[in-house]
Amino acid sequence: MNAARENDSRRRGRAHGRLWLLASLFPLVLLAASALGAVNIGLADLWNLVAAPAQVPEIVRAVFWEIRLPRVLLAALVGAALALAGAGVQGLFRNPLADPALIGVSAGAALGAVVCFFFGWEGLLGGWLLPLAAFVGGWLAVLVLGIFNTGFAAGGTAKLILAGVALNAMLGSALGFFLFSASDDALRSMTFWTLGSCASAQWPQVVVLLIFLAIGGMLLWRNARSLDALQFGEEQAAHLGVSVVRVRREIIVAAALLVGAATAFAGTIGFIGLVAPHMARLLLGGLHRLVLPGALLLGAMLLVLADLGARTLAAPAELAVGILTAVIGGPFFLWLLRRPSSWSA
Amino acid sequence: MIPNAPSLVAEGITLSRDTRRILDRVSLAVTPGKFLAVIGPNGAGKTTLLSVLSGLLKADDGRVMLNGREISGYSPAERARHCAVMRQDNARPSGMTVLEAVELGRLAHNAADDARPLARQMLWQMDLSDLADRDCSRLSGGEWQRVAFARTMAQLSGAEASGLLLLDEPISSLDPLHQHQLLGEARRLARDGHGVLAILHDLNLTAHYADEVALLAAGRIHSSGPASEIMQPSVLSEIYGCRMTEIRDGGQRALVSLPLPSVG
Repeated sequence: MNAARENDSRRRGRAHGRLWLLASLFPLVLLAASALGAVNIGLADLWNLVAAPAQVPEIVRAVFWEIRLPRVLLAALVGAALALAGAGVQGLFRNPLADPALIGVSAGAALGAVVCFFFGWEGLLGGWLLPLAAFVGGWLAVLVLGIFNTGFAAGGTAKLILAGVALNAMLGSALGFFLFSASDDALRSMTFWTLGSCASAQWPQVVVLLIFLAIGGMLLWRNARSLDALQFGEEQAAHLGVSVVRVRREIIVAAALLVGAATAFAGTIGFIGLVAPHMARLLLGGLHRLVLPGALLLGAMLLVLADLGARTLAAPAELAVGILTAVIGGPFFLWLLRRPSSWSA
Repeated sequence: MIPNAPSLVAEGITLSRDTRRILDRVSLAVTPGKFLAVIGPNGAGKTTLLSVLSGLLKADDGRVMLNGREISGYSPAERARHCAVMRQDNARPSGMTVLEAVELGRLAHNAADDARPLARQMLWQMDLSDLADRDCSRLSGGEWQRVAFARTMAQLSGAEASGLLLLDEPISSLDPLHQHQLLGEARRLARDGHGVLAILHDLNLTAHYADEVALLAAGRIHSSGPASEIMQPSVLSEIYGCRMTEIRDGGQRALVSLPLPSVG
């Protein structure tokens, strides 16, 4: 019993240290991913890009600033957004299997994008119609779900989850219809989109996504203590002073902003939203002031590494990043689950 | 405010689900300094009454006044500063230590800096200091119930005006020693000037700790008043449908339930 006591308190003490460790690993991962690719950039050149640009060959400068860096940053932002949304939704639903996809936003976004491909509109508005359609599709799905965000007596969160499942199934049917009726060319674009990719990364998209990440992240952060209290159950949380219906609304809006924007630019990418928050909980414990930043960092690093694999493993061809997220993250997650000193998930 | 004016007053609470009437014109008052026990058979409407009294559930008819204001007019955070509630269905979080769980009792209070020392003090008072760093998921049911009570005490501490403590079967998982400890703490909080209402099933402990008793049966207040008047074997036998008898040990009396004698 004494040993167990010591374990729990030592684990909590180590949690902050581990969060700092993740935070210091993050720039290293970004740096490595920026250096590696079709054109490898050496450490000296990487330094000179900032310190003495004139000494770096023109082609390396162009590759780094216009292709490599925006892509690495987009991957980091998409991974961070998906993982944050997952941490919020899992905390809200108190369900370890809750995925941000559960609130319908991914399926709605996929439907918006697929409709775009179906009619051959993906190039319109300078290529911005596609992400816009995906974002709007995701939001429409979440607005429908919002109807079911009622008080306690009506079944509360359980009803919201069931409504999400039904909504996902209906959107899946519509998606199937368009896939079934599409031309071969459109079908190929649709399939590639639904497996996810960061290949279309450009600076404007990085900036837009950064803004969404900031808004969504702040909405989640200000509800971090409420999410902790919700782990006692919604009624007990209300007695502790949590405005449950408002918190539910804010978490869902945050998740919809994060997943909607991420999906709009990178397509549907699974696994990260479900597993990165669990990794954070296993490493850092259950308090959301640790879980949220931890999930953000883990999700960002996971997707940066998966995207690195996507563009190097089969070079010059490109793999869909959605294929690689589970290949890279899965073994690490299983290892965490097996470690005796992990927090219970 | 008038000293000893009731901190919580319920008048004519009526609530129906479908065609079933769950609460029927229930009126009661919780007075600062007093421990009020609500007793009654399963399904009498006790937990529903607690949900209405704590402002989570709106009654079809009647009103609930908390410190002179209708309870529906409070924001959740404001309500939490006046009224601490310990529910029966408290989920046990994982990845959270006992100390951190008790600190969450201070969620609605603005000064967060006092949360940790206060939580430690409450754990010490509930004899739980040894468990402070244990993960909540690794507690026994009884230990968790005591932790939930410590959190409720932390919430009540420094409540605006006289605080209100609502407890739903707070001792259902506890051994006899800790039942006495918890109810003793609840009574002490009443003596400190808070209003305490507890839903209880143990009639003997009710007779021992409560100042006042409200007997709820089939959604109605059957009788209410000082504990010594209500806790009579004849009344309780009729309501609960089993034989109640009284035994004496020295100066103390205890209520004991016995099965009905079998017929024939």
